[in-house]
Amino acid sequence: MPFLPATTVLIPLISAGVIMIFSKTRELYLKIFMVCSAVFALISSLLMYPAVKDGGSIATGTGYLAWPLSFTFRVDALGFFFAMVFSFCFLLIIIYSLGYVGHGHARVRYYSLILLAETAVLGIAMSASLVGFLVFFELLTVSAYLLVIHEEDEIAMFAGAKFLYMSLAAGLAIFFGLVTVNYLAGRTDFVPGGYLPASPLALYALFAFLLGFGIKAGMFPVHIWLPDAHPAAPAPVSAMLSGLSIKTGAYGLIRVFHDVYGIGLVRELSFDRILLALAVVTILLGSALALQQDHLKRRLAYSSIAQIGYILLGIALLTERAMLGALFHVFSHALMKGTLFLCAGAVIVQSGKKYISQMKGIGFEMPLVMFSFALASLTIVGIPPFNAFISKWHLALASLESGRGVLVAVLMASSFLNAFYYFPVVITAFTPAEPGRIRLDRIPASMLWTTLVMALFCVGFAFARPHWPVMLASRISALMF
Amino acid sequence: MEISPFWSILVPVIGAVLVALIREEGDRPRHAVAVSTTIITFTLVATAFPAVLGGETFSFTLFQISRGLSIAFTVEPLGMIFAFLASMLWMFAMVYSTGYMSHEHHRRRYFTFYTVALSATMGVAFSANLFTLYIFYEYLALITYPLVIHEQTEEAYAAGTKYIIYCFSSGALVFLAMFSLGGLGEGLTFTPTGVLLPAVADHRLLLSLMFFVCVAGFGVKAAIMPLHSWLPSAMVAPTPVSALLHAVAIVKTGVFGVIRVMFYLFGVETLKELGVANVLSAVLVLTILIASILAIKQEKLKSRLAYSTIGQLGYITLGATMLSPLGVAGGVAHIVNHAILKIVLFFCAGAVITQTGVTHIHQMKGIGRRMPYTMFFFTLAALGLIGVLPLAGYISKLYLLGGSLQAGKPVLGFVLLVSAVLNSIYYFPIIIAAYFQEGSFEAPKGLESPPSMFIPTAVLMVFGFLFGLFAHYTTLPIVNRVVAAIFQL
Repeated sequence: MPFLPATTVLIPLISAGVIMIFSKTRELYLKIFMVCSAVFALISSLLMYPAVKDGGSIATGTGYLAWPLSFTFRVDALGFFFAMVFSFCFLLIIIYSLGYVGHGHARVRYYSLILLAETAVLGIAMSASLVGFLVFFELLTVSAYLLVIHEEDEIAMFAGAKFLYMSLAAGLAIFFGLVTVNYLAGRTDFVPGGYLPASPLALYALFAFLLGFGIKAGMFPVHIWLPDAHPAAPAPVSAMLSGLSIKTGAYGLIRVFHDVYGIGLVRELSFDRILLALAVVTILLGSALALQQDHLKRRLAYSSIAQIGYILLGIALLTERAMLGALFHVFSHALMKGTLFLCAGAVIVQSGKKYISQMKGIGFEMPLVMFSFALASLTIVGIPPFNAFISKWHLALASLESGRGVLVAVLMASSFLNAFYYFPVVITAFTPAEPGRIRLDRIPASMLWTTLVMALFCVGFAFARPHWPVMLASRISALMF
Repeated sequence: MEISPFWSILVPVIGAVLVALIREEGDRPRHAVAVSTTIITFTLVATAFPAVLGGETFSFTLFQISRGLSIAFTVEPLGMIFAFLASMLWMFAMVYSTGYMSHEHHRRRYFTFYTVALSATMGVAFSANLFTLYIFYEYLALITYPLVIHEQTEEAYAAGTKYIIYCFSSGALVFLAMFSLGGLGEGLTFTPTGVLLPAVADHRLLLSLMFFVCVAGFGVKAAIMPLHSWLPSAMVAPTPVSALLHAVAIVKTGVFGVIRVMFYLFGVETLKELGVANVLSAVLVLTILIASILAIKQEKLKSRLAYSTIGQLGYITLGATMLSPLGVAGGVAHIVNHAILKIVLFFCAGAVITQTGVTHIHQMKGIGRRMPYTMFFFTLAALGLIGVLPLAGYISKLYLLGGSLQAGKPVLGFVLLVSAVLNSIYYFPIIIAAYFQEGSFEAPKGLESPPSMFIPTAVLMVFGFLFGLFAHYTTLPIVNRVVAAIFQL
């Protein structure tokens, strides 16, 4: 079905428009409509699986509107993988949002923006060229900015401004890279194996891409927007930023490395080493700083920086197994970090508590939420056989295979740190100052069950046999190398 | 038919006479005459557009004063772009003016000069040689003076004086160049490859010197630093004047003049031979960066837009100085894209000023409640100028960056990116303040601004999208014609 890549992107786009136009309609209808469109986007992206599973691709395109602007949506196995993760997590986040924004202000704006953000991330996954990528990248910047500042208080405005300016700079850096690629090769599309000839300009452009995608991904040293933006944003938006939006940076890097430059050229320019070094710093710095945070969402934000470091590490090693680890980590981190942020949001909605030191005994007041938090923590720390263990296992093996044993130590160290900053939260939550009765969570049902579903997915995939996300990731990485 | 575009120079004069005959109170007939004059002018220009796009050029000599000195017109791609753009925007600006000026004094004078200025602009666009260009250039400066001093305040007179001094000094420089070069090139007639190449061997120094004199002459109106200071002061004029004359017509005649002189008088080969373009590039880089930084400091909305204009005009000329096909294409395309987006910004500013009386940025807190759509258009236009896809501005940036690589000067491209970051730093605080800060504005009752102001803004914003999405069918074909002619591709 050749129209699927286009429908996947257009369904949320059109729905966002419809919600804006009919903003005066009864809110219940808007909510139902929004959830339905997220479901359809998920279905539309899942339907692409048969066509791409053996390395095929489908494309829907408009041809060139203005050189080199064309809206060609093309999906291959890699794009499908990201689109699947994005559309699934977005569905849960959107349902969760219904409860979270509940009776707050500017709800209709929020609804249409979150659909626009979904359009943007799906568009990024479905883009057939750098130009299409950049269009949706800019859309993501604008829509995510407006979501980050949803509260409109001083903290949110400051964090939002930081996010906005850095994201715009990222867009411009990518734009520079795009122009250079187009100048050197006369094309900007993604072709497996790459096509760029070696030249000094190609190296500059690669630095520009690294800067652009690095800002989006929250890579050291351009991660500085991330720890401010996540705590300031509404919890579902934090989940979206952390679980999905920063992955678009990683996705861009994969595309540029494999489908524009080709890994041969990346190796020749020794660029993999630069990225590797940055990834190691990102991992250690993120974990170390997370340890010091008392603000729960800020701790989660620093943890995201560390986790994106794993993904960048997997990309930088340029081997099949490392890519498998990176891709699987994209999948598992989206679920884990999504769950953690949804839990943090639930705590804020029920009790208004934002700091870990205030959360003593909160597990007795909201057992299901904190149970989900505990499950996701177990997963993210990398206790076997949970998801993050699988990705770390593959990353460690890949490091050994490429003769960089020291990376294993980095991964181990980071896992220890993970344990040090996640388990105390769980322990604090379940050890009250004075023993009390356990009461069930008092948060809107839509928030509760989406959190639970996401937590169960985190854990469930560890026991699913056959383990199809891993199989899919390994098939994709096999196709890429 | 053959000479229909030349009528576009005469029609506004006739229209202006009719406008002037109508008494001060006769607003409705005056508006009708003024708007239909611009429509007729636009139609005259537009009918010739397909032929020019097809590769035809028309020439017409009005009269010859003496050997090598004649008033002559030609219709060719570069002039066509400028004429088409100016006459199109004039229509919208005229409609906008009818709304904006409805409570102002001296409407008769205003509309008369506003109409006749179109004639001068068309003259500049269609001039076939430097002499004709010079005449219309001076003529434009003269007839826009009453528009600049329209408010007749102390400040307006001061700005007007500054304006007229700058314009006539610049005219004098062009005059000097015209006489110095007169003997070297055949009649100083504009030809796409330039006419001065044969003279390079013998008159190297003179040519280099006169290049800078010429560029300084036109550069005053193109607001190249340090010759820019008239532009921010001239912002005391009514907003439609600022919008059209200072973001589109006058400053663009300066830019147009620079491009004309560089490529149609000197020619690419001559410039490469002389090596003068690099110096100009350096000046422009400074112009772009300094103007963008100064824009951040401006508290008055229109001044901020004015400094932004200085920076954006720098892009256009910088593209020309790259002396590479993509760079020139980017520069010429930016004439169009910047005009459309900047006029939207000015229209929005004007709507804000007339409807709420707000002139400074710190007063704009929460204005998004009062004028949601206006500020939305403002946002889109600002994004377009920053270069966000797929609005019009990115097309020119794409070409300019490509041009800098093609010329082997990636640093020029880098400057454009830095400038884009600065652009976002001076536009976004306005937008954020408008939508997300608490203010004392109430939601509008009925339409947020008169339809005569609202509709032109909206339509032009749609153009801003179309020129980005469908640049292949709008700007680029004719721009490519210009570039092909200049570089003999």
